[in-house]
Amino acid sequence: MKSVGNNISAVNVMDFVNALNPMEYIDNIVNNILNYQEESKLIDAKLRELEIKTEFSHHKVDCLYKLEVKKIKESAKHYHDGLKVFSKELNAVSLDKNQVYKTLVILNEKLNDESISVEIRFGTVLTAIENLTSKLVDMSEINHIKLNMVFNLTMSELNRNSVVSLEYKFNKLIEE
Amino acid sequence: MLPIIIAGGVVVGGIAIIAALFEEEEKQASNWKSKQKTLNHSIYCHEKRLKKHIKKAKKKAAFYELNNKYYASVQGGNLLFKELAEATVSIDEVYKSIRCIKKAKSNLYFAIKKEKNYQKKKDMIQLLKIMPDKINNMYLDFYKMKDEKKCILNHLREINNMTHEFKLKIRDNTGRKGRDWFEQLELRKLERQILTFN
Repeated sequence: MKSVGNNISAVNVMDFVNALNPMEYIDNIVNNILNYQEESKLIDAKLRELEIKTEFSHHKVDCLYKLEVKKIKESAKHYHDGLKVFSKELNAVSLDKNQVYKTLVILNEKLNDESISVEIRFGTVLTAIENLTSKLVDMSEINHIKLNMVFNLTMSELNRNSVVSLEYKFNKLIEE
Repeated sequence: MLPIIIAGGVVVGGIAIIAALFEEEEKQASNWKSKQKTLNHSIYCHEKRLKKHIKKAKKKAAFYELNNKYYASVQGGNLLFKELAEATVSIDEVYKSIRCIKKAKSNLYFAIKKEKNYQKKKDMIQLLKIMPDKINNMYLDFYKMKDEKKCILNHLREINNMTHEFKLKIRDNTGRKGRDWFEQLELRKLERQILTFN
């Protein structure tokens, strides 16, 4: 019991002496100063890194935007070129149709022209009307197929969703 | 006496050094704290700026895309509209021909009644007999063309609905630029309507 009491008092005395030791106190302060300086330098480095990273991120945003605009432009050009081709083809058919209309007007008049013989009217003229009408139907069918293609082309252009992919890329950038 | 003076000097010197070091520690601590604050503030500011930039870029891209889609839709719609008008003309022409053939059939009927020559009458009756088939065939073509026109009309309606949706999306989702664009578009539309009315 006595030796334990002696030990405790020895430790307390040593602590007291250590506490009085200015060198340890100075050592602690110097350590703290060095730690603070190191941390400050680390923060400076982090700040620089942050600036570079942010600059890079801004640059990436601009690049992604430009890339998206380029994609949209290319897609629009592709669509307009396609539309132009269809428009040209449809116009050509339209010119043919106009010719058919004109001929039909004349033939319709001839069909009821009493001065022309019945044989010619109900033979040649009627057959010509039938042929032209079926030609008109064929042309309309071709037009219909082409218009379906125009519709599909337009719908594929309208349903293209590139901004969604851009949003995903931007969200990924924020996460980074 | 001298040792006491030396000891006193050492103590005073030591205290001065400790005080200076303590001061330096506080200075470094406050410097570190302020830098920490700056760092946090910088992170916040950079994040805010980046988010703002992204938001702006998103809106710009959305405007660009929707605007392109709007005009693509308008052009596709215009082409379909033009062809719809063309189909209407074609149908009208076929219908006119049907009416003419019907009229010719009726005329033939009366001509048969008036005809005295037996052979001619027989030939004309033969012609009259095949007329219903011809008219029916033309009606089949007519209905086929009408169905095709209906299909074009449905496509046109679908595209027009999308055009309208894009217009509203541009107004609602692309910020001030989109709202300005919408207002300009509506203004132009109104001007056109006034001009047409006058």
